[in-house]
Amino acid sequence: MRITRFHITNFRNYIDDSFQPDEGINVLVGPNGQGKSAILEAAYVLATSKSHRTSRDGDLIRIGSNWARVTAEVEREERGDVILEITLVRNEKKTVRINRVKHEKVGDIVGQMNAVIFSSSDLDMVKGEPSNRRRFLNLEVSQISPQYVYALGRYKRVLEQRNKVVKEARIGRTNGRSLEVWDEQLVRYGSILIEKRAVFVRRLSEIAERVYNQLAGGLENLEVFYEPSVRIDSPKSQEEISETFAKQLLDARKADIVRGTTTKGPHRDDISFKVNDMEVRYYGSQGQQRSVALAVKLAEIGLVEETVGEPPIALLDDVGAELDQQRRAQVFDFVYDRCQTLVTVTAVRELPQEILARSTLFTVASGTVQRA
Amino acid sequence: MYYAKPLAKLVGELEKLPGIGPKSAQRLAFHILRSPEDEGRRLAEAITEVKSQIRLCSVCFNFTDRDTCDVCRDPKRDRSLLCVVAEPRDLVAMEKTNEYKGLYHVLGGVISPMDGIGPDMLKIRELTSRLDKDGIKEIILATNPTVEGDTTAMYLAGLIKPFGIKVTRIAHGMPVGGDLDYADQATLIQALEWRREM
Repeated sequence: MRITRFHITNFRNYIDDSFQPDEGINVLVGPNGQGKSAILEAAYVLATSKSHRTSRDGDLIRIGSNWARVTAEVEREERGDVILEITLVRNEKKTVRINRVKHEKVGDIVGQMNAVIFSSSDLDMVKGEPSNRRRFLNLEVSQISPQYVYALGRYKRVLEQRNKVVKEARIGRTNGRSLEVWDEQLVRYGSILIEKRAVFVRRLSEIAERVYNQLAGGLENLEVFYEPSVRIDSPKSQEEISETFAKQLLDARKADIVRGTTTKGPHRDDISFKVNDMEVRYYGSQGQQRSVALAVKLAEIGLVEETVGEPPIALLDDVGAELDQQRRAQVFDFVYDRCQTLVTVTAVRELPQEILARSTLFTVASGTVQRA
Repeated sequence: MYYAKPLAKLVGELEKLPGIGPKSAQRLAFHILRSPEDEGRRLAEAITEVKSQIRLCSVCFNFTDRDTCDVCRDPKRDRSLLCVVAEPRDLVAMEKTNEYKGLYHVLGGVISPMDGIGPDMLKIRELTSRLDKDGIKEIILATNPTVEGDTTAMYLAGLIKPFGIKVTRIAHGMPVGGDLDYADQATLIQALEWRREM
């Protein structure tokens, strides 16, 4: 999968620019604040409909403009070529077009093009709060499962409604029957999330373990575990998950009413990373945490390749600042000859000479991209 | 002040209507101003009449200008069939099909705790009291396939079951004449979920 033409209008500091990346490695070079990362961000927005840096779409629109647009022509081996377009309008819903046809649901664009982004927030996924890891799960599983996108949207809505009912129950203003139906809906969509997440983490884990082993020179061992809020030994069928979830939700009802919120469900899930049986989040060294983050990201590339039948586009944001020389070399080893790659650096010397020799260079200056 | 006072008042009132912005309000107001005297009066009368004469049907809670609405009074209707809808406009949509011959019950909304709408604020008690007497054999739940519409349908289904009446939910999925290629993914997933044997 690769972008053959990229067009960006009123996005971040860009007014209107387009460029044609090569297959293989594309290096975007330029001083800070010129718009290197914005290109990667724009590509990521096309892949997932969301930015990896901000949850406010307004931030993506150029100051002084009311709207922004990103368009890419994408070559795909399995599903045929496609033209993707996303338009953001200040204070309005964004709109998407696939092959010039407008789609009512923004979610339809998710997964049309697959991208894996490497950025400074990867480390937060390993070190940070559980919400970082749930965000990671949601973004990644969404890219490979339309059903997940649908169930997640519904789950969030049901959760908000149920929380409201639980709050009212706390002050005695609701009957038990109305809580029951919300529970039933929460279980219905939540079970889909649990099942998809379990499968995703299991497959991610297999690949990440292999990759980590290579990164650590065969000396250390990584395991990734899904830790669902709904305690279930090894999630099997969807029905089994539903039954368990329903039972535990009912058991927690009293506590929910006392606390005025929903204490059980995928919105409380987490993932744990263990190196040699040690929880990396708490006990890992800085280096181990970085390696785990990197292994997970590289594993994602493998996982997308397995699922959709061709490798995703790799987006490497400021690898010079984020990774040491050895890890940098390992990343390029992995993506080289596999993924179309867009990489940002402030100076070309940040990249290994042999990589540079096989890359296409673009200079980025005040919102324009030019082939060097 | 761009407008003379009475004109400004009309523009201001029109602007409050849904889907009407300042430009449209101005266009409508100038149109009304230029139209013959009696046309303007008819519009004004229509608005006053709708406010003073329309009320809810005492049986199904559809809009009506009498105690019971036209559908409920129609002797040709199948009284064993009852279709539950959220709003009067949904009833209109069903009626336009010219296919459905049963009766209706209008809830006046759907359950949505976030908007402060609980089951007690809908015409649900009125629905169950109809079940005892009307000789109803089947209830069709025709709320929208949104989270709230689905939840309301589930709530009603649980409530109606003890009466021993058949409860059905309208199908949702592929639009008629729709192209699989162009259907959005959520619709396709629902269509799969609600598939049936042939």
